[in-house]
Amino acid sequence: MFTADQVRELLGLIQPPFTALFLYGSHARGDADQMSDIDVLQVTPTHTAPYTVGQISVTCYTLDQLLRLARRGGLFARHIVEEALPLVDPQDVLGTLKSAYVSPINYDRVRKEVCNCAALLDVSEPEYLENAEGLGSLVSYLIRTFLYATAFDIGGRSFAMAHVLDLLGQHRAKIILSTVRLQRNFLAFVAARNLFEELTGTTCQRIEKSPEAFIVNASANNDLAMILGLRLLARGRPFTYDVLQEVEL
Amino acid sequence: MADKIAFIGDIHGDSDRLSALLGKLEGRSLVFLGDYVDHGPNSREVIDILLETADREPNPVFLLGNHEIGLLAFLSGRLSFLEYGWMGGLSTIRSYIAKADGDVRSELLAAMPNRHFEFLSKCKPFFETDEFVASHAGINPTCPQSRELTEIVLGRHTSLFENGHRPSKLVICGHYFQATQTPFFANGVVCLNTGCGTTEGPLTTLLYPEMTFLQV
Repeated sequence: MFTADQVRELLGLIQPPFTALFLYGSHARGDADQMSDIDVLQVTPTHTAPYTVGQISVTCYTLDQLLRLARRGGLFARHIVEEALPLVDPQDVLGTLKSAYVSPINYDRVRKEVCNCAALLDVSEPEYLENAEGLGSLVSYLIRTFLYATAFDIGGRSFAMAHVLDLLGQHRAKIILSTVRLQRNFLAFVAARNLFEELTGTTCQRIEKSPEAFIVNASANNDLAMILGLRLLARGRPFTYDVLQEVEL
Repeated sequence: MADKIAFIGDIHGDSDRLSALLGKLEGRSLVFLGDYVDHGPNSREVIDILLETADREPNPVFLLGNHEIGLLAFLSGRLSFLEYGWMGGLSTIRSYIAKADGDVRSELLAAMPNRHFEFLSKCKPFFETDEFVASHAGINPTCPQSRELTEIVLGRHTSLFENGHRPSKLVICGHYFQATQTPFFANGVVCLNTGCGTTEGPLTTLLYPEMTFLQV
């Protein structure tokens, strides 16, 4: 657990504005190791891209987005509802999300959405090198999400990845996920992409000539592909509506 | 302009609600407060309906919203695909292009009818009389005389909704999402963005001078 001083230090690194802040992931569960990111959910008044500050990985959602995810029984909503610890929450956003959360019958939809993101991983080595950080994180996120969904459907209850991998007997995945997290090189990425294809039974091939065109088409029925695609293009840069103020009109 | 006016709030691609509303506003001058495109599914159809309205109605007023500026800026290359996508522009692109293939901006430019481009380009930043000022983002309470685009279309003046502030004439705006899905009306400020096209909220209209609201 964090001390009051550590929480204060963490709050100082968050980019305002926010209406609530939560700790989730391994630091919230208490099973973090030295390599673990500090996962923070920042509830923002307007759509904002995620960002990282050192080891702190900040995911930003508006309350409306979170409520939609909770009502759809999304995995991220379950993650928050089950394990988030409030750092700042004067309006009891967590209570609102818990009330709104609807548990799904199964995670078939999540697996399908993950599979439909496969085209985002269709990159050559030069393209990978232009955004190694983003693509490494993306393949890792897609594999982990697929594994969570599969584990929960056979009775898993923990978001601790070590438990999930044990439950599914995916010991090779443990090594590949660890490697792609530590090594930003194309071989590690390809090994993870191959694992993704093997697990999901999909092929990482994009029909469209550009990732932008894929994102447009996918956005018709796959919010996950749209959001992950835009985040990939953003390369960690924050975005707010104020961008229009800087456009020469 | 007729004595009776209907001010219509943010539409955001919800052509069904727009069609349903327009049948209920006969005999009134129409003032649309901007944000016709993005988020909702049928931005192209919304502009088609607005163009038909312009052909049919005497002197309707179409104000500019930040999303129209975003679309124009994307088309001219001043806003990136990423920036426009974050604004909710992907649904607008899809409403014009059945299937994107490569250079999305060029494909959108090729698919967008000239009339639509002209419509967007001709939207006005504000509409003002002695009694009221209507603009997408209202006015800046600390600089109430300013009619700069960055203030009245792109600004974010949340202090308009705070107690203790009262503009010298009625301010009618959209832009600021009213999470209760009911319009804001207090302290000489009316806000009509009730989440139409973004959160399945209703499309809201102010009937003036009665100061009553109509939602579909």
